[in-house]
Amino acid sequence: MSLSTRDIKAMLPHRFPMLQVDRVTELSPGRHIVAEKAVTGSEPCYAAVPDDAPQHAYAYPISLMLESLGQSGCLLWMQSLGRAAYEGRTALIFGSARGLRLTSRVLPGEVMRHQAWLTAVKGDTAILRGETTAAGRPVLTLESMVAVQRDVTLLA
Amino acid sequence: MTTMTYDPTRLAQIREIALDVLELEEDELTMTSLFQEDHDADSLRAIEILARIEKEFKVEIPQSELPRMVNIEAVYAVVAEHADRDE
Repeated sequence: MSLSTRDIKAMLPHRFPMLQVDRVTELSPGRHIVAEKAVTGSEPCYAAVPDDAPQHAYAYPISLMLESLGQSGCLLWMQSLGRAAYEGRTALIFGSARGLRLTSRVLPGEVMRHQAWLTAVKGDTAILRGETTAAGRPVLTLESMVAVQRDVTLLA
Repeated sequence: MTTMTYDPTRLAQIREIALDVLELEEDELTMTSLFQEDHDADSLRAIEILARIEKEFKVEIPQSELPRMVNIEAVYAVVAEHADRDE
């Protein structure tokens, strides 16, 4: 199963510049997802980088890489939640992340390829783990991230 | 109160999960040290411990047990109850 940007926008409330998933290339419902986000030199996060900055100044921020991985995991979980998720009645909230290991950084022109696995779902809580690569090169591994599901009316 | 005999393997598995989720060293976690008060655990970590225990021991533990699961000793008791229930 794959998801286009249009499909993703039907599931996630995030929009520019916080939508951090471009497409989903594989999805095993309730188990595993493969999603991608391309990094460009025109990302808003690079707007203030001075012209004489070294190349490593363009390393894609860790917080955004985690956000991108987290959104990929959310898509996996949402997909198995069905109608309530699609109709925007339920919001998925990132809770915590643990065991992050960063191996390399991602630069403009590269595509981040995220894999997320749904380790367990307990009531309103999901536990996932993730791995990111770029051009086949390991970027980061995340041992555990926890997301919770809440009725949007409670959050207003 | 019945005396609990601890199965060393089961206890070790429970400890490993707790040490991992709570990010503690071996000697920091005792049978009675409290996850919340002593180890700064919040509700998310508590649920994570519960979910991983379920997976490890292939049991189903209702979320209603969460308030009981305050330390290793208590978690062991809950696991023992639910794992041995059908034997």
